[in-house]
Amino acid sequence: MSHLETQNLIYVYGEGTPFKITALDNVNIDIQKGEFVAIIGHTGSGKSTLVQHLNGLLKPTDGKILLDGENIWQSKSKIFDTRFRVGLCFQYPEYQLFEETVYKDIAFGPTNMGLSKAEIDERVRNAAKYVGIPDDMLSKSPFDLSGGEKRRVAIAGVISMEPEILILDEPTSGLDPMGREQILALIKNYREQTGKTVIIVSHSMDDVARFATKVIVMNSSKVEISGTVDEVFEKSSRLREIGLSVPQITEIFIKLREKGYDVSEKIYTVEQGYLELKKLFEGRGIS
Amino acid sequence: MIKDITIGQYFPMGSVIHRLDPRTKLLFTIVFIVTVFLANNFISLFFCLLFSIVIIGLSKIPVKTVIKGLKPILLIIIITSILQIAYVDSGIVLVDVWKIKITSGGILTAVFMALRISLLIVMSTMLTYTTSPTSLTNGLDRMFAPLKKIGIDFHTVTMIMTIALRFIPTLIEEVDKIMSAQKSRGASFDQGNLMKRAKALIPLFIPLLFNSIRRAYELANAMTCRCYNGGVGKTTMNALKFSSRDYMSILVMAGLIGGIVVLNIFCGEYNAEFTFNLAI
Amino acid sequence: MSIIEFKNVTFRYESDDEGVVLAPAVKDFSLSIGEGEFMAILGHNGSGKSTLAKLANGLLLPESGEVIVDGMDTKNEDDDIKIKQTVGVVFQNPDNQIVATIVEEDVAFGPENLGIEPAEIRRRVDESLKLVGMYKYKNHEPHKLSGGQKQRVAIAGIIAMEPRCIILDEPTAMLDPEGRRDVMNAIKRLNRELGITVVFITHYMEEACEADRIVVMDDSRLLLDGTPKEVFADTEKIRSIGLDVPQTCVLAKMLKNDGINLKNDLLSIDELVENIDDLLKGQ
Repeated sequence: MSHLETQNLIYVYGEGTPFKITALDNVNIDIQKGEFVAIIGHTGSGKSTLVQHLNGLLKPTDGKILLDGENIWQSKSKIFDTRFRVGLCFQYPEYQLFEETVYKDIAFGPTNMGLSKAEIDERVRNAAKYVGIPDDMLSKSPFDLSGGEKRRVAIAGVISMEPEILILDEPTSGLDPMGREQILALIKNYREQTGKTVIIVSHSMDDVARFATKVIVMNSSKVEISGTVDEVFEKSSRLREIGLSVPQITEIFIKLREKGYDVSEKIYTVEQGYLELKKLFEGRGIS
Repeated sequence: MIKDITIGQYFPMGSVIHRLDPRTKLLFTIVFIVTVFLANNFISLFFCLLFSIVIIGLSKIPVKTVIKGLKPILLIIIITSILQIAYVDSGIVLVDVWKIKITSGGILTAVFMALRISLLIVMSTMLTYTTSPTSLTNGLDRMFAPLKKIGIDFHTVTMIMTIALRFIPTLIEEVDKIMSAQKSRGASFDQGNLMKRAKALIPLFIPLLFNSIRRAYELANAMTCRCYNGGVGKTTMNALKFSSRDYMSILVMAGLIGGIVVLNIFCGEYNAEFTFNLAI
Repeated sequence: MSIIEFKNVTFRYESDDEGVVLAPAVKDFSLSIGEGEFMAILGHNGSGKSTLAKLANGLLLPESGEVIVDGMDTKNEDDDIKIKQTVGVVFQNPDNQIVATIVEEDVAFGPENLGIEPAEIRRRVDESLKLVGMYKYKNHEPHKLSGGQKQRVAIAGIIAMEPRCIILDEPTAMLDPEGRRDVMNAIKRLNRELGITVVFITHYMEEACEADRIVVMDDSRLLLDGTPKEVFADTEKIRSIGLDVPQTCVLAKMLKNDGINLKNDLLSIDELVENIDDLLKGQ
């Protein structure tokens, strides 16, 4: 059975006004337990609207969202429950920090869940560990931290709810290369250690090509392509048409193939590319 | 919810009314308000109504939109009407059951007051519907510029108004986003008693406050980089200039006041109770 | 001739806590920016690169050393307006630098402050908006535009002051790929068509590659200065300070280490593919 599934999801806002927009148009996605899903699309493709449906923040105009086979809109109490089971971390989450201390901010979610003090404490410390926040930082004010640190505290604030599914909307936007690598590494690490389902929303193929087990490409409110990284990158020309790019390294190999060389197109990292080219040169007796 | 409020909204329809100098429109609004208060009988008031219908027609703003602008004050209109009906005791008695006594005078007064309030609101909203916020602040800026001679710097006030108008939509968007983010962590903004609800707003207001301070700081830097120095020696791209349209409008305004005064004299006051009501 | 000259500049921010002295954000920094140059300043967060933008037009004043803009010392208050008119600065968050509620009125803000004649302001506003491709949005409300569009309006607002140099502090950091591309194109036009000196601060190496000259900042100091090919040739050094190197450079370097005779200065994908093709065909 699917872990999280949408059935003919439609979302229209501004119904009845001249500004009516269909933000989601018959979207069907299907996510299994433990998958690492990347939702890719440019701004306005509907990807952020989609994830806000997955934790019950937005109510669909039509269609269903099933969590473990059950409709999340069945009852009001269920929706509350869904928000804890499907943790959603917004873009630029550092701008939502509000507590006096890092500890209290991370504890906000678990406290709303009505957990005991001991349980909250355990969860806060666990979450802090996942994002690499040292103990002495927990008593600091979140407003005194650096940009990258704030981002990690905000992510911990969602992880601490111990959701079955963790969704991160553009978790690396605005960060420098080092900050980006740190965030991606911690997400990868979190998934490996917990085995939980993770969904990343991004407009960058580079970020996700390395980890994702499934890629969902959104374009003009619809699912354009869905499949493994290989399956999606096979349609690189279509990706470029809808304003998405493939990693630089992949493009090198696409161009080499166009020139008639027998190289793999499924190259997403420099290391893979290096090995493939070495093979090519060695095959021709150059090395 | 916050997004439904239309007061302060601008509808660029490019009509004759839109093209009037903002100062003319400001003056016009003031004159109209005075006139509506001067009108002390139904005929005068209908004259004002007729006049506002002409203005709405000329402005090309859909009548539906204009009426929608009345929605926020509907409750006030209803309450005043009920009070008038309950307290005014004159004319023919229509209903007299137990303690409730409704008279024709009461109903007429209620209609009169409701019409008067509606006219005031409609014409005030027409000002913002037909004048862009920037042009309005420009108008205020120029209108009150002479105050500088007596030490009142109105430019600062209009600059603050411009920035407020510019940032209101940005902040509304931000409120929406922070609320969604905190809801995702299990916060609820619409449950529990008043105390609990007030407390629930902390996770919304603290980030909003911090972000606003950061925005203010960045905006100040950006304004400095664009040579802002408090409006000293500032020019305006769209310099305000009275055109023949504006002079015409001033004539119309004079006509309006004159007409009402004449009508008032001819038709006489509506009735004694009404004057009493006006006094309080 | 240089338009901006940093001479041994040191600057430190004041701490909120009394008695605490922060480490300098910029340390003994010297750089000469020539008129008409198209330069990128590359560095990770906290390397001091954003402070440079504020020092360059007198928004911040150096603790020691001096910043000379077209012969004027930024410390001289009398030249303040003239300096800010000569060197315009565009910041990261487009939302926080747009003042007016209508696009064209925002672009007019700078020239209005300078006391320019209304007709001339109108001409400048129209031309600036056309240059950044936002003319058809001139009567729009800024908050209804996308991030990339807003940023182009902010750029037009600076161009309308007719500066000789424009500094952009991470203008694309908050934008999506499409917005980033549009902003980069607008920036390139400023330099190529109007001859305005452009200095843009970024941590995206793809963008830095488009410049004629790259200055790399690390730990408040100038680390490298050269053409993109020169700078990225030193892949280890760039990577050691937490910056990206174009994947083509890394790949070429790895292959060269294996003794494959690739050229030294490969930067773009096409250059690398071409070179590999030549080598294989040469056989």
